[in-house]
Parts: sequence; C-alpha cells; structure tokens
Amino acid sequence: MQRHQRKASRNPIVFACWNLVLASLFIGGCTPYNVGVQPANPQVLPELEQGPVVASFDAGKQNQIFQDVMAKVESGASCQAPERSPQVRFITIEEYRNTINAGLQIQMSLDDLKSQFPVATTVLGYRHLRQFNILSPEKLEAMVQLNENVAKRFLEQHPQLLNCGQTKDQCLSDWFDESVPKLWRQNLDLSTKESLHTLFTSLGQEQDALQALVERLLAAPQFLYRKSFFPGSSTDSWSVATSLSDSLWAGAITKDLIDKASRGDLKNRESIALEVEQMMADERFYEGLLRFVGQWLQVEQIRRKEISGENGFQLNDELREALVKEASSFLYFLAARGEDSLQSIFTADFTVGDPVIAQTYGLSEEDLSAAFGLPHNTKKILFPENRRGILSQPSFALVSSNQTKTNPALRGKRVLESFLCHNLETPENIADVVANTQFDRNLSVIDAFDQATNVGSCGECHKFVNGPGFGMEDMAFTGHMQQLDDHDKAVFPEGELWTASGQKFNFTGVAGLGQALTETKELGVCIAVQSFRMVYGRLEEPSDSCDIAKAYQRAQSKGGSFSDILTEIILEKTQAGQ
Amino acid sequence: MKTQRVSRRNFLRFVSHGLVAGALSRTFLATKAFGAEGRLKLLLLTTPNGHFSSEATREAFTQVLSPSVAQQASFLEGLDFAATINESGQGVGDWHGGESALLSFNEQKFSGPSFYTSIPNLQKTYLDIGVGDRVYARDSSGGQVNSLNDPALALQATFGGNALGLNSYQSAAIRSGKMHVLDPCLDDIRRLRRELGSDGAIFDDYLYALQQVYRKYQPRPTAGEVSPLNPVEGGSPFEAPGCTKSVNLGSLESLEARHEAMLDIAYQLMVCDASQVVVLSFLNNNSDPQHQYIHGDGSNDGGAKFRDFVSSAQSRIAGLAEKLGSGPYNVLDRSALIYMSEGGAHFINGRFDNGHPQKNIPCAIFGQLGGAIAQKGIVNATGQTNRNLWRYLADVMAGGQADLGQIGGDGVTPMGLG
Repeated sequence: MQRHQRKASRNPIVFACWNLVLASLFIGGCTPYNVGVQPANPQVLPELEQGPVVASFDAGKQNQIFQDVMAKVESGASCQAPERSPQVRFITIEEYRNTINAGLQIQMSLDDLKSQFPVATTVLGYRHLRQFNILSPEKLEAMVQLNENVAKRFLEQHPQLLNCGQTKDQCLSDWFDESVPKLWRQNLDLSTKESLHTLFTSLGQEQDALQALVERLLAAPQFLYRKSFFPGSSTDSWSVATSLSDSLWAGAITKDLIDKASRGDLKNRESIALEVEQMMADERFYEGLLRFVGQWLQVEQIRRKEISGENGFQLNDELREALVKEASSFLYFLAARGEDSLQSIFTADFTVGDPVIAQTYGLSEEDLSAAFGLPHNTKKILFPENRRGILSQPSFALVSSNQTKTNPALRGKRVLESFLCHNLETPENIADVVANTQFDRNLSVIDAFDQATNVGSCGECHKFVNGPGFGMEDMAFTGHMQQLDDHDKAVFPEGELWTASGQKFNFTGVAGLGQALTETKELGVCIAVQSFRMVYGRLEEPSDSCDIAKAYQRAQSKGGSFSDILTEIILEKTQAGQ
Repeated sequence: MKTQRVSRRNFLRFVSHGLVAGALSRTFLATKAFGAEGRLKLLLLTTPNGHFSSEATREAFTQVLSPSVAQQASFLEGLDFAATINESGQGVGDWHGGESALLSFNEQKFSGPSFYTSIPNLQKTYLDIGVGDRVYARDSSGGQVNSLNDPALALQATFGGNALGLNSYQSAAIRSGKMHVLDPCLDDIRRLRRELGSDGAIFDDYLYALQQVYRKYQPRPTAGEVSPLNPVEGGSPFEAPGCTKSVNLGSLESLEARHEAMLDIAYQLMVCDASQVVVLSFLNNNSDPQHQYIHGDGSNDGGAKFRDFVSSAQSRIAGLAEKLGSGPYNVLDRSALIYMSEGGAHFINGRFDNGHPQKNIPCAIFGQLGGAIAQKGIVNATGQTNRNLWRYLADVMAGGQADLGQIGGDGVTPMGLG
C-alpha cells in the first residue's frame, strides 16, 4: 500500500471549509477547562477521515533514483530541480530530549522518556525518516501522556517560576520570551503570546495552569515537527537554524543561532555557508557526526549487539561505547585537520578512538596532537598493513557479523547499502534460509559460502553481496584480524566489488576493499545521498535527484571531501543554493 | 494567596492521589453490588510458527482448564491467515514476516492497522516477550506501537507511579480533561497551513491524529454542569475481585517465566478493567531456537520439540483463561481471550511438516464478550480467515457495525459466532 499523498489544500473549496471550521471553533469558543461546555465538533477535512499510512521500503525504487542521480552527475549537464516543497518530519526522541532540556531547563534522560515516546521505525539505519514515522493518533496520544509527565517534572524543578518578583503575567511573559523560541524554534508573535496568556488566566493562574500551558506548548506541531529549509520568498532563518542544529550538532538550538534566526540572518548562501563552516569547526560537530555516522554505518547497533567471543574477548560496556564512537572520532579528526578526502577516509593507516580499542585489538597508539572536541584520552591508533581505512575499523566488522561467526553476506550488503547506495531486499525468512543452508565445514568459509549461495535465485543477489564480504573475511566477527576462518581454514580474502552499473573491481582483504571503493564513481555520490537522508529526514524521491547531483558536483569542484559533500547537501536545498 | 479554583480537571487530579483515591476505590468496588459491569474487553495472545495440530492445541488447553471454564472455550478449526491463503484457499507464500499483518485486515504480509484501531475510545495496552521490531500489534497507520517487553517495566507503566490506585474510570476522567490542552493546537495548524501554502497538507498526519484524539476525549453532550463523578467516555468504575494492581514477578531468568509474568500483568489489566484491548505476543517467527524446532529439529524428532514448545505456551495461556473465567466473578462474561498464531498446523496426513504449512491456524477463544460469542466447543471455520473473525469482533466492540473502511475492513463478512 502506498502512503496517501493528499493535495487537499489545493482544492480551494475544501481549504475554505477547513478555515470555516477553524473559525467556528475559535469564535464559538472552546473554553478551556470550562466544565460542561460542549466543544465544537472538531471535524476537519473530509479526506482526513482516513489517516495516512506508513510507507513500505522499496529497494528497487531507491536504486532507480540513485541511478538517476548518477546519470545526472556523469552527464555533467545542468538540470532543473522541480519546485521545492517544504519538508517536515516528526521529532526524534533525542531531539525531544534536547529541546525540552534546553527550553524548559530541566534534566531528563533518554531512559526517562523511552518507555512513552513513540518507538521509531528504522530504515537503512536511519531512525528519523519521514515516510516511516508518521504521527498516528496513538502516537499523538502517547505524546500527550508523555508531555504531562514532562510538565510535572518542569513544575518540580521550577516551583518559583510564577514568583519572580513581578506579576504572574510578567513572570510568564519573560518565561515565554526565553523558552518558546527554544521549544518552537520560531519567534513568538504577539497574538500567540496573548492566546497563551488567555489560556493561563482561564485556568486560574496557578501551578495547574502552568502545567497545562507547558503541556499545550509540547503538543503543538511547532514542537512535534522539524521543519527544514523552508523555501518561500526568502529562506526561513528559523528552519535553517533548526536544520543546522540537528544536522551538525545534534543538539538544542543555541542562543547564538536563536539570535541569528530572530534577525533573519540566515537567508542567503553566503551567510549559511559561513555558519556551516563555523559549526563544523566547533567541537559540537562531534555530536553531529555521532548522530550521522552512528546511523549511516549502523554502528549504534553495537550497543545492543550480542557477541560470544573466544579467547577472553568480552564486549563490555566500555568497549561497546568506544566502538560506537570510533568511526565518528576518526571522521571528526580528519575533518578538523582538513584531511577528510574520501581517499583518506577509506585508506588511512590509522583509526581514532579510546585506548580500550588499541588494547583489545593489539594495536599501538599515539597521542593526538590536536584533538579538541574528542572525548578525553582519545588516541590515534595505528593500523598494521592489512588494515586500512574506515572499513578496517573493528566496529564496522563487528556490527556486520553474527554472534559467533562472520557473515560475508551481511557485510557485503552493508558495504553496498552504505557506500554504493545499492539496496538489496533481505528475505523475510532469512533465519530459515541461513539455518537450513548446508555449509560444508570441510571447506573454507568463503568456499562453503560460495557453494551454498551462488545458485538459483539466491545467486542473483549474492553475486553482489558475496564479493565484498569475502574480501573482508580477513576480519573476524570480533573485529580482530584473522588468518584462520571460522572453519579453521586459512583465509584467502580475495574479493570483488560490483557496482550496480556493472563495473567490477578486484581486491584483496579489507584494506583492498577501501581502495577499491575509492575507485568507484558511486562512492562520493552515495555519501551525498546518505547526507541527504540525514539532513532532510526522509528517503530521497525522484524529484530530489537533481538537487543531489548538483550538490555533489559543487562539492567536487571544491575538492570532494566528506565535509564538502555534507556542506553542499545542506546548502543545496536552500533557495540560495540554486 | 488566591484560592485555587476547583474545576473538574483539578478535582480529578486531586482525586488521583492519596486518601481520596482509596475512598473512591471502595465506592467503586461497592458499585459492583448494584450491577455495574466491566467494559467489553479483548485479550489477544499470539505465539509464533503455528501449532502441531488442532487436536494437540485442544489438548494443551483442556488439560489446564476446569470443566466450567472449558465450557466457555471455542476452538476454531480450519481457520486461515488471509495474508498467506487467498480467497480460493490456495497458499500465496509462507508466513515469515507476516506478524505485522496477523491482527489486520490485510491480504498481504505487509504491516497493516490492527482491526480495533479505528474503533473510538478503546484503551489499549501492548505487551510482548522477545518480539523485537516484528511487533504484531500496529497502530492505525500500520506503524509500530510501543510494546512493553520487560515485565517489571510493564507493571510500572500500567499500574505504577501516579496511576497507582486509579481504575480506568478515574484515569479516563482525568484524560478527558486534556482535550483542552489540544484546543489551541488547531490555531497552530491554521497558522502553519497558511505558511506552508499549497503544501499545507503535509501536516495531514498531525491533523488526522489531532482529530482522532479530540474525538476520543470529547465528553458527552450535557446541559449544564457535569458532576465530576459522572461516567466519562472510555471509563468504568468496575474492578473485579482479584484486582490488586500488583504482580509478584519472582525470577525472570527464563523465557517462560517472563511470559508467565506478562500473562499475570495481562490478567491484572483485565480484572482491574484498566484496558479494553490487550495484545500480548510471545516471540516472533524468526526467533531462534524456537523456529528451528520446526526445521532442523523437526526433521529429526517428528516435531516433538516444537509440540512441547507450543503446548507449554498454550498451557500458560490456558492458565490465564482459567483465572479469568473462574471465581466469584466471571470476567469472561464480558470479555474474550483470543489465542492465535500466524502459522498453520504442522501435523498433516500422519506426518510432521517441517516447512511452513499455512492451513488451519490455531485459534482458541474464551469468553462470551457480553453475549456476542455463543458458539462453544469445536467451531468449523473452514473457508474463513482471521479477517472474518476480526470483522465480527470489531463490530461487537463498536456496539454495532464498526467503521472499518479506513483500515481495510469494509466488505468483510463477519464470522458467525453469535
């Protein structure tokens, strides 16, 4: 079933009806908390008698879009993006936490929230994609319940808010000015402010009224949705500030950004580009990379990963956390030094992370000369010759393995999805397929796997996924390098990398895989696509292919580094980016 | 200091705490003597991978049940899962990945809204053990619901904290006050739609959700002041004996113990009238080693291990049915426990099928659901699917023909269980 795409508001009659209904509601007066007053019937648009439904992931569609982007990049011809539409998406649990902690000045952790916050649907590693995270009535109800708890916490921590030494109205007014821009990410206009005061007055101006007011602020769409890059006659500085906060710092909007948004300073390409540059140079960019890389490479899953290692290997909490952060620390370090070319990312002879990684994997370490923003005690960890680049990091190998053995198919699939944007459907009965496949333990893992999968309809996908996975077989499921595989046979990690367009690259070992990836045309474009998903909170649509292609081309003209690509993806969707 | 105005909302908030709640609880308990009844309730329980056979399922249940509760049981035989069997009775694919369609009207395996989601004013609770992200219960958009999968957390979330001492009547009354919190959001929407211009409909999900939540919280029309203790939509003052709002969780180390603990929590939800739809799922059809009891093990032991696994889960469920249906007040009079799995019967023509048989999924129903379910014993459901059953149950829960058009239930013939 496809998600309903309604164009209700394009029907002027329907839209007029909607406004009439709204008008009747407000003129009629939904007297808040007035017992016994029957509210107006909240009928809305007839089309909305049926709720939107979540989308189904269509690997073929996304592959086709990627091919279209590739074609535009390769042709080099200019393309014209269709009229841009505003983008909104439902808030994530991290954004909810960051926003209430900053806006209400309280301290709530993810653990405080996660039993009530609507569970996110993860697709391709991303937890915030619009198409799959629709606000259903049940989710809104859950939010209303959660908001009540948050509002109570707020009252507990701010019992004197209404006793600020002035009238209650003035105390409240000051609090509005301070807090609402952080919560709603927009200036509070006079009429809205008046309506909030009216609500507070009608509720009795006591603590209960304040609680209800906070609940109302948190139930508003301005709070529950993220609005990104809002085109119009001029770029909306608030939406730019919001997107930059989320994408680059994964944090609450700062005072500086609030001031700039309030003044409308983020309206043209130059000003936004300058802001992006400054934010990437700030140590808070590390948090943004943790958010992006954790989902893009799916290394966040290490927090829940079960691994039963031999020889005393234990995936304890300290190591889990270190591995989750490894790829982000590495990218942050490279970006901070201006060395985040794709060549460096995929072929560097070191990683960056907590010393526990070096200790666990028997690697040597060095102090970092410039590591501002990275967690305390972060080290440069040197690789031997058979490890090179981000794919050689223990975290990537570990997260794409099974509990007790390597999984060449899963590894290959992750490589294709993450770096070449070649998506393949996983069979629904994958557990059956794997459990019922006879792997000949007298053969090496690679030979046994090849024999079992390179047949029939299975072979159609395994033609693509096996090659990268076989080449990574010199990494054990724990992330160690190995010379003997799980069948106790010598490892000969000869791999091949097929692009969707039919190009083939032979390589040896995980170190060779990184080099092979840099030789593909797809790698940089795919990173642009991944950046798009992270920044805009949705899977790319056919109408986005021109924007993505143009952003990539601009990034290439600047050098084509990871930072260049991310920057241009952010800038492209602003009107000023045209 | 200004005297706090006593509105209904303030009053009910006050009521929710301390001594007043205790006093009211006694009052509510006393009302049972005057004929108060719990609301209609559904308890939906699932296990994965189908069952051994209809006979084995009946046996597992009846061994636990007392004669009086056994008389309240219906065993549907010949029932199929619409996502795996087409209208002609032909198999259209195995049931892997079908968890999210089982409670829906879907005829394919993609996730669909659960059959009760379009019925207004139903309180729902979702529980599971080991289901992961393959959640059986879905919301009205077909999306994942928050399912409580840790018994201790589930107990805390359902009966803990500020809700302690509340029954559904009180909590529904409190919630009904929140409709006013949402009122001004309509104004926000108006502004945002104006800003968004021709693409204002992008907020459809918010508008739709807001509208549905409004409907749920909308109080009944009244002329004049409403007594705070008048019944509120969605609530009832009923609490059956056995309602303690607590469960002795004990050791939760084994999977079976966690399942048992969740069943106990489900029992409390039912007897305390705290929820009208409770879904409790036990594992999914990719859970191992349980799934391999069919395949690897099943090819060697003739399905013995699988039969033991299923019978064990069914026995625990039967224990819950027994508790609900026996004692001084029969909760099953106005409720129904429905047990089901997405897979069919594995024992076919004298041998164990170690694949994914689709035909004849297990379905046991306990209870009368307010008189709506009269057929007892073995019920021949050949040619019918889960859709027919859901249609019937949805109509009963809605108090008439349920509006199921938006979730795919239009045109589905209700199963005749009356």
